[in-house]
This record gives sequence, C-alpha cells and structure tokens, in this order.
Amino acid sequence: MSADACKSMGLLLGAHLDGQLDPVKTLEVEDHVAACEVCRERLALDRALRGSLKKAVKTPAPDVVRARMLAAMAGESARETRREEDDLVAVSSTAALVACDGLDASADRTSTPASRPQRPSMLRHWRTMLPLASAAALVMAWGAAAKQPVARGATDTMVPAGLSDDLLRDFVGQHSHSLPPEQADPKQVRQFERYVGVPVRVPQFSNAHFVGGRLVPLHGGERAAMLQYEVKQGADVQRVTVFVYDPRKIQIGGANLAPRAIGTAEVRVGQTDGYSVALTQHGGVGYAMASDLDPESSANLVSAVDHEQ
Amino acid sequence: MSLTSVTEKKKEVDGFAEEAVGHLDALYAVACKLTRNPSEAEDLVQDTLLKAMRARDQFNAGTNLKAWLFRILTNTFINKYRRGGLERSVLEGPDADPLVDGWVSASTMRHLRDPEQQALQPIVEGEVRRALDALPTDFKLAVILCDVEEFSYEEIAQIMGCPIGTVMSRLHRGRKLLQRSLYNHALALGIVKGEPMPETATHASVIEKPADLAAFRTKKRGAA
Repeated sequence: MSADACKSMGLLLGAHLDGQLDPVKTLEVEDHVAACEVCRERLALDRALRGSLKKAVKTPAPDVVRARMLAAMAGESARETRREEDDLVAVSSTAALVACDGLDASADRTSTPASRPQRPSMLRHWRTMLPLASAAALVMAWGAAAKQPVARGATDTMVPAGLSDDLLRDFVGQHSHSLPPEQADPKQVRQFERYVGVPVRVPQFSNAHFVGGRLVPLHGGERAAMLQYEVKQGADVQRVTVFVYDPRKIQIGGANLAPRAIGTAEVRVGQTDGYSVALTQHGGVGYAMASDLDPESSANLVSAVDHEQ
Repeated sequence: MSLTSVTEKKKEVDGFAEEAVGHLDALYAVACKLTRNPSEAEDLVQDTLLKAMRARDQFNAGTNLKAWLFRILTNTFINKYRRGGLERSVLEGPDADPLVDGWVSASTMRHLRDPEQQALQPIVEGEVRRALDALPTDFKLAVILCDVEEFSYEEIAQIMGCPIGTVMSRLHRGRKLLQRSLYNHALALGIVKGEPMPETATHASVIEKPADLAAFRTKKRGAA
C-alpha cells in the first residue's frame, strides 16, 4: 500500500470511526483498511483511544453539585413566576375596566369564560395575554361576588343542609376563628409548599387585599396553607379564606357538596355553619374557599383558579 | 390573577429544568475538563443551566437540547475564561503538520493500544488523561464532544461555532497529539521502541506566529 494512499486516508479514517462518512466514502475507506495493515492499526488505535478518553472524562456530578443546580434552577423558576405575577398585577386595572363592560352584557353568567374581554392592543408580549384574560375572568367573578346578584333561593335548593365532613368543618372553623397570619409576604407563603406537599401560590385579586398566610393543621395530621383576604364593601369588610391542600392526601367529603360546572371548572359548593364553602382542583392542587360571601359568589370565585384559555 | 397560568407556567419551567438537569453529568464532566477545577466547573455548569432557563424560549423544542446546552456551556466558558477568544484562527488553517500521519509501524500501534503486560493499561490510561488536559482548548473540546459525548460533526460545528471542516481538522489533530504523547510516554516506559516524537509541533506553530494570527483575523473580518 502506497504511503500517499495512507496519507489521504488521514482525515477519512477519523470520520469513518465517527460514522460521519457517506456510503461511497465508507466503502473507499473499508477497501483501503482491508488491504492496509498500518491503517487498520490506526483505526484500532483510534478506537482504543476513544475508549480511554471516555474513561478519562467521565466524572459523575457529585450529589452536592446536583443539589446546588436543582436549587439554583428552582430559585430561577420562582423568580420567573414572581415576575409573571407582577405582570398580572400591572394588567389587572386594565382587566377590571374591560371586565366591567362584560358584566353588563352577561349580567348573570359573568364568570363564564366565553365573555372574554377584547385584548388591549398595547400589550407587547404574548405571554401577558393569558394572564390578562384569566385576570379579567377572575375580576368578573369577583365583581359578581361583591354584587351578590344571585337570588338566595336558587342557591339554597342546591345546598344540602348540614355538611358533616370533619375537614370541611376544619376549614370553616379556621376561617371563622382565624388565627393571625404568619406570613404577609407571598414569597414566604410559597415556602409552605414543603409542608403542604403541593405548590402554594397566592392568587391576587384586584379588589381584595391579601392579608397573609399561615399553615394550619387538619384532622388526620395533614397540613394546608391558609390564605386570608379581605374585601372592602363600603364600611363592611368581608373575609375570604382560601385553603391550598394536597388532594391526594386530603379528601373532602363530596357527598354533601353539590357539584357544578362553572366555565370549564368543576366546583363543589355547599354551606356549613353559616359560611359558604366552595372547592375545586386544578393541576393536582386542591383549593377550598370559605367565605362570608354567599355560596354562588364563592363558587364563581373559586372556579377562577381553573380558567383555561 | 390566574392560578392556572402560573401553575402551567411553573409546570413548563419545571419540565424544562428537569430535562436540562438530565444532562448534568455530561455538562459537569466536560466543565471539569475545560476548567480543570471542580469549583469553577460547578460555577460554569450553574451559569449554563440558568442561562438556558432564561433563554429557553429560543430553544426549538424537538431539536437537540443537549447540543444546545453544550453550546451555551462553550460560549460561557470562552467568554468567562478566555476573554481573548480561542486560538481558533490559526488552527483553522490547513494542516500545518502533514507528517503527523504515517509515523509509526503497525506493531508499535498495536502495542500502544494493547500493551503486552496488562498491568500497564492503567498507566496508559493515566497518560491519556494527562495528555487530554495538555491539549489546546479547541482540540480538547472537539475531541471530547466527539469521542466522549458522541455528537455529530454538524452538532459540534454548531456548539463550537465553526465550519464542519474545522471540526474535522481539530479532531484529527487533537487525536494525533494525544497519540503522540501516548507514544512518547510508552517509549519512556519501554512499552514500545523507536524515536521520540515532537509533541509540541502544533503548539509551537501557534506560539511562533502571532503576527500571522493578527493578519489572519484581519483577513477573516474583511471576508465576513
């Protein structure tokens, strides 16, 4: 085999080993290698070297490094979510205006996502669209709640008297004799995730003031995050409490709660001990709302956690 | 405010983070080789992952996430540790050292890859490690991305931001340099017989031609 032929094989041998040659070149190399002992050995040496390199480079990341990376990424994720929420607050005033128009047009079904507001043209980023529409839907629901537009009779017929579920009573008890919040900062409230077992987000309502959150123990040793809000209606202050819990661990007796579909959300509604209760689930997270509002309003409100666009 | 959109958002972010962290071992191993310092490697990987998360909108789903992450890692490394850029332009020239090939006999090569005394194998492998550390960064990166991480030439070209031909030339020369130091080491140990090879031929040509480097860059810039 001539030295020239071997020399021209130089780059090809490597590419052949790397499986990067087209079929014609591959045949050319294979023919040469079959006839040339030196190039056969070059190929074998390259292959052996590759094996040694793999061993030399392989360095599994230590657990402590892995943990640090996960923590850094979780922090970044939280920061991003925080930014998203700030965006929402920024657009909520716009949403409220748009929502008012919608309210007149669809007076008694204001929580239906079908009555979607027009998109203001100044929005610069598609990402703000979804939050805006959702925020508008929620504001509408809230508007309906504050106005209490639904006749009591209609609501009473669907509520079985006397809910017996212990957990439901827990929630209502926590709402009626509420302890002061442990954390007023939504960021800190998010840390409850590790005790509750599901992500704890703080919904922000344009006309309700988030007072704070705390962890509450429930029957059976589980915990829920309790988020407290206040709504001012003239001189009155109405309280709304949202409980965030892990629905895999905490099942709330549904038999006494009337299921309803509001928009795309399934909500179960009832009344217990004079307070209205509404439950829904979304994304594997359970939300229970106990409030001073009437059940219809609670149902509308809690359904807003499940609005899909 | 919609709990839904935030929950969805979190899911999407977490999904991305989970997928990215699946490549942690590979990123960390290469970062260790590039920085040659575990704590710097850690910083480099963290910078890479966070940058990837922030820029994940720019990543085309369905394309190779690993290659994309390595591209970020490479750029981060170059920006942070190699302000002056790599010795790229010189290395992009035609193979300055065509005598690299055809240097030893078939039996010598056989001894190199398969020493008669198996006890010598770990020594040979230790030498591979040392020789890899000694390679110029561009060669080292090309060799690792190809031989260890098994990226295609096209992916390596994207990661390193150079043409495929350059990838091939870097690989070829990187491997030859590794083989040379392996050979010289084996020679010293008496595993093979022959004359020592100059290991630094390519390094020397890089160092000796600073003027050419500047000229080459100017030429490149003019062409671009």
